[in-house]
This record gives sequence, C-alpha cells and structure tokens, in this order.
Amino acid sequence: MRELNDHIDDFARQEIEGMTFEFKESFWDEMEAVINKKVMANLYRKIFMWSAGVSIAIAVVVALYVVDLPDKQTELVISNVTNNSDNSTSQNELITGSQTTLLSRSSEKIDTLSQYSSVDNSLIFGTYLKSNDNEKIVGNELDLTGQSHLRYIAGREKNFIKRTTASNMPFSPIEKEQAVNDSQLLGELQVFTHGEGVANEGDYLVSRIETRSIRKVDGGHSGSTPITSVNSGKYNRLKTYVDLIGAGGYGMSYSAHSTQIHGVNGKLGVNFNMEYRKLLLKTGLSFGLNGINSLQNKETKRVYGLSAVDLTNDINYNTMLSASVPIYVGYSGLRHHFSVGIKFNVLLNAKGRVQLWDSPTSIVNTWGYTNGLEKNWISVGADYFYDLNRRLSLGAIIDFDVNNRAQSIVNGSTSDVRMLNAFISLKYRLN
Amino acid sequence: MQVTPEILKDCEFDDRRAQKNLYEIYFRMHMSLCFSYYGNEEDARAVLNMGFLKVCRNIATVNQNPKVFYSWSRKILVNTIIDDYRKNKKYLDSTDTREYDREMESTINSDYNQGMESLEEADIKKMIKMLPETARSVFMLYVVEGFNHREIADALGINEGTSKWYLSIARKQLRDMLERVEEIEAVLRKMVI
Repeated sequence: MRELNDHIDDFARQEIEGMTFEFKESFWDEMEAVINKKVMANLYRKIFMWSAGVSIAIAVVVALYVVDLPDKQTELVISNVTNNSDNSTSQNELITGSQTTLLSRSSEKIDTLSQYSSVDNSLIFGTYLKSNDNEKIVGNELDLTGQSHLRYIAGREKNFIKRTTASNMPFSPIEKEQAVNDSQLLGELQVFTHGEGVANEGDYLVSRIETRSIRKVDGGHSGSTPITSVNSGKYNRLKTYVDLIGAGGYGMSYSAHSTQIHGVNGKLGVNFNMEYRKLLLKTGLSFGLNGINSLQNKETKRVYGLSAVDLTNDINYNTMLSASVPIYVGYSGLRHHFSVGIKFNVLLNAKGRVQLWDSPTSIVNTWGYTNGLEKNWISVGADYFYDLNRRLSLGAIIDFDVNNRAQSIVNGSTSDVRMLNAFISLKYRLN
Repeated sequence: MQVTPEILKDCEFDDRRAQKNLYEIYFRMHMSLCFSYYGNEEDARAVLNMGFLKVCRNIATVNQNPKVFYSWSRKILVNTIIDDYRKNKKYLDSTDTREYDREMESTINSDYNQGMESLEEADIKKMIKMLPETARSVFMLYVVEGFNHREIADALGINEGTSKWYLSIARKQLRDMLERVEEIEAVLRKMVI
C-alpha cells in the first residue's frame, strides 16, 4: 500500500511539474489592469490619509485660535456713571463714576471670585483665588472711585474678611470671626464664580483689571453713587492649555501565531488640550523612538532582521522613529484626568512597509517569512494622569493596535501582529 | 527568459516592461502549481495574479538575488493560495462533499466514449480537476510542498485526522482514475490487435 501511495505521489509530482501552459499577451493586460487598480487604490488611500491628517491639524489649530481670541476682554463690564445735579447749584454739574473692565479671562484651574457691593457707598470689584484649603482667598480689589488697592480677604463662600492692609499675615481667629459678621454686612454681595482648581499664593492676579475713572467736577458735591448699570458677560468655561509629555514603556505583540515583537519604547511630544467643564478634548503630536527591539519566533527562537532596501535611511531596531497624532476625549477633574481615543501613527524613517527577512533559507523551511512592519497604523488608547502640582503630572498610558502592525506568515497561514504598549509618563503644563 | 538582477531592480521601481518580463517568467514558473490547486485555468490565473501583486510589493525583499526568486515567489504563491482557501473555506465546506460525490459518480459511471476521451486527454490536468477542492489542496500541500499533516491542519484550519482522510481520498481517487485509464488502454490495445 505504501509503495502504491509513493507511486501515486511520484506520478502526480512529476506530472504537475511537467505541465505547461501557454502564455498570452492578454494575460499581461489583465495583470497590468490589476496593478493599475492597486496603484490607484494606494494613491487614493494616501490622499485620504493625508487629507484627513491635514484637516484634523487645521481644525485643531483653528479651534485653538478661536478659543484663544482676545474677545474675552469684555467678559465683564461694570459701569457706574451718575449724573448727579444739585438743585441748589444747578449750574454746577457732577459727573462721577468709573468703568471697570475685565480684560483677560481667568486662568484655568483657579477659582476666581468677582464681587461687587454698594455697601457703604463703596463698590468693590476684584478677582480672588481660593487657596488649597479653601479657607483663604487672596485677591485684588478695586473700588470704583478709581483707586486700586490690595486687600486680603479670607473666608469660605460669601463669608469674607476684608483687610485693607497689604499684609501677608495669616488670618487670625478674630479676623475669621469678623468674616461672619462681615458676611451679614455683605448681604448684598454677589459672587461670580467660575473655574475651579487649586491656586497657590502669589498666583492671585489671574485677571487684569482696568479701571477707568470718569470724574468731571464742575462745582457742587458728590452725592451717593449708586450703581447704575452692571453688565455681566458670560464667563467662558472653555480652557485651553498645552502639555509637554515624555514617556517610557514597554510593548509586546499579540498574534495568533507565535511570532513575537517586543521592545522598550520612549516618546516625547506635545499635547493640546481643551476643557469644557469636566470634558476634556485632547490632540497633539508625539515622536517615538525604537518601538521594537526584537522580532522573534518564540518556538524557533529565530530573530528576524530588518531589510534596509525599502527604507529612506539605514534602519535598525534602535533607530525606528514614529510619529503619532492622538485624538482623545475624557474626564478632567481637580487632580485626576482620564481620557480615551484613537491614535494615528506613522513610521517616519521608512518609505513604505519595512521588510523583515531572516535569511533566504527561511523560504524553504516551513516557517515562511514575515511580510513586514506597516508604515501606517492606527491604535486605540487610554491614559490617566494625576496632578502632582500645578504644572507637573504623573500618568500611565496604554495603547493597542487596531490594525496590524506587522503581518506574520507562519506555516503558510497569515496572521496580523498587533502590539500592546504601556508607558509611564510625566507631563509638564506650559500655560 | 531568465530572472536577472536587472529585472528585479527595475521591478522595484515599478518599471512596467520589467514587470511584464517578470510576469511572463513567473507565469511559466508557477501556473502549473496554481492549476494543480484549482483545477481550472481561470481561477488559477486569478490567484497567480494575486500572488504576483504581492511579489511586486515585496520585490525588494529578495535583494536582487535571482537565485532565491523561484523559491521565494513560490512560497508567496502557496501562502496566497492557502489564504484564498481559508477565505473561501465556508463556501467550500458546504460544496466539497457534494462536489466529491458528483465527481466520483461521474468517474465511476463514465462510459466507453468518455473513457476514450479521457484517454486522449489523459493527463494530470483532468485528474486534478476531478479531485474535490479540499482533497486537492491537502494532496498538493503534502505531496508537492512537503508539508506534514500538522502543518496542513494549521494552514487550512482543519484537524490533522481530517487532513489524513482527505489525503487518502485524493490518493484513492487518483488511483481509481489511473486504473480506469489502464483498463481503457487495455481495451484499446485488444481492439488494435
């Protein structure tokens, strides 16, 4: 039986090898049409990818520009202009008042309070910051007579202690008690609050306030100066800021096959963040080095090499440079920030797919070969950051390839190789 | 026509004339292999073209070394065929058994005239065409490519036992067909005498 089988096998092998087929020109025409179609498809894909990338970049730049427009200068305008005529001196006219304009928007992550009051014929307007313990508020006050002086105010919510001296002394229990009393006096006080977060002493002047006095005295005396108009603009809760980010981590592949990619990764980048209340939108650009330091078949322990033929520069596992553009959305709390999204990645120093090839002999063994690392790929990811202080944050980043990073062909079957990367990251806030 | 480093290099830069020359060489090298798996020229050429696209895309891999081109391009082609098989596996699973029964019935019930015709064209093309799809793939991978049953099972997504069964089916059917051809040859010899 075995001989018979061998005979059949030999016969088939010989006959198959001996088969001949006539080549016709029309066959090449068909093939050329397929190649042309593929070339055009690749071209369209490239155009699409570049268009999408450029559009996103333009959209981000425009959005950041629009958000940062200086139109917030007129967020809050308080006008106090009184035409106060004394009947007894009708020829004399007193015009007094001032206009206070909040010129710049408040910085993010800082509580600012603005208040005005007509108590004791004084109008107080200013911006204040809560300190970490929410007990002390430091602020800059102006009165509408045009004089500006620094006051320190302590208290919680509307319970303010007013201090007219420019002192950095902490508030005494008596002053705190006074705050309770003052709160009754300041019953008419209205508080505008926006933003929240942690402020440090010394950072109190978050808004630039310009007061323009209007005083035209033409005899007579000044009477009371009630507030005649208050125009309160809507506070803008949209915040933008830029982070520098550095990360180091480790990545390894997931594949149906045993072919394994793993390596230490490092990246540096910049993130553009937009926050609306607790909602965080984030994009940016980061550059990663390395990414893969070994591509190994776990069973054979065979390590694959990189072919430099298709590359712009000489490339090895240590000089693989990639760029990533993330688009993440998430939650941004007081100190905790979490976001998820997708990331578009491109291998910068490669013209196209990086060819992997262990040696020509591998083509005759059963392990086949691995097609190569893709030039473009998309990944999904998530990150978490904890604010160590106002500028520095510590975090963790994780991402996973959506499409194949490499393609593995083992024992004749094809499998996509996807990578899981984890990073520890430090973030520095620029503004 | 031979594969030369110049042709490979030109193909790397998408030179159409070089690609045409390479395709012609590639066609002569591998069309028989494709036909052996598919049993008809149309499907064989379709998969040959798919394989050639991959060859063009990865031509830099061979580093302008014509010596490895044959084995490298053959490996790509076999992988392409296996991928194609796996893609169409669902369809094949439902049609394979029926196809096999039909072909067997056709073989067994073939009358003398059909036998004469078979004898005239009694080449391996006919026999391979008559093999059921999966049996043909298993037979080709085992006999021609030198895969073992575990590797075939991995490649085609079937059990090792199933692979062995398909191989025995293919051999049995080829044996039956060869015997039938020999019987017809004997009858013809008698008629001539």
